Amino acid sequence: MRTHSILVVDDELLIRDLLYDFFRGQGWEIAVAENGEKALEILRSRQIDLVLSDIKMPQMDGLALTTEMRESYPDIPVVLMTGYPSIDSAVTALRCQVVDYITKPFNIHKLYKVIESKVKEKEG
Amino acid sequence: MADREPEVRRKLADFFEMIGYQADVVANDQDVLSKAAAHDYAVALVDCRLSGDSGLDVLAELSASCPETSVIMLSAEPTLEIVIAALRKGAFDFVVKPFDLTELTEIVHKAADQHELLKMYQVVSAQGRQERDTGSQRGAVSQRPRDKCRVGTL
Repeated sequence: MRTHSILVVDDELLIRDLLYDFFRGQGWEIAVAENGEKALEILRSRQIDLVLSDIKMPQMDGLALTTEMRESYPDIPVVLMTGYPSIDSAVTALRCQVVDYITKPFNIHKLYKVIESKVKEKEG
Repeated sequence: MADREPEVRRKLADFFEMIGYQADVVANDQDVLSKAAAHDYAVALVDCRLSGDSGLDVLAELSASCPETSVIMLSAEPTLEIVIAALRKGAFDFVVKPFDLTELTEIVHKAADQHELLKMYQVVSAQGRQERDTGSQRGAVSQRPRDKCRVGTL
């Protein structure tokens, strides 16, 4: 079976480290970025199955990243996560066609189930 | 157009017919599903509180049974949970009431465009399958399937 790859985008080092260790432990390839611009650089250079991004980040936030990705990488599913959930950001996320919207703090095992199911759906 | 308020149904139907759409109106979830099964609707406007809270159930049913229909959810009292549920169930858009008719029209046009693209994609896929089948019957190397077309840009 092919190894799955995920790009985690979050400005909080702690979250990036936590998710890096967790997904590595599950046998995934993982790349991390601290904002949307860095994420786009990574997307240009390697194959990614799914992007898990925070919404609120300096420079390019998660919604701007998703909007850009819908143009350049329409087939890569995006899951957004946020510690500041709001109806407005959820509606914007829906319009950006994200596959899920997760509120922080999250249960990492539930998050993993969501991510795994979305990658499997993409594989068809 | 599925809304439990007769006034909203009538006004929306009149407006969208005036700008060139053919509009059907229904007041409850059963009617949405039976009409959707019988027609190829480009767009469905569904109030979240159709009968009780059944709008989201209707969305899930439509996403499963009529995936080409773009479903726009409407709500006068949205909550974060409702919007997230609509996102997970595959809504094309979510519009808060009272809505701006110009904005809603723009969303409906985009939703209709998405429906058109999905139909085109179906035709192209079917043609590709047919060509591959014919090719394999003749012992020819089948063509690579075309890339999935992108839909629903902002």
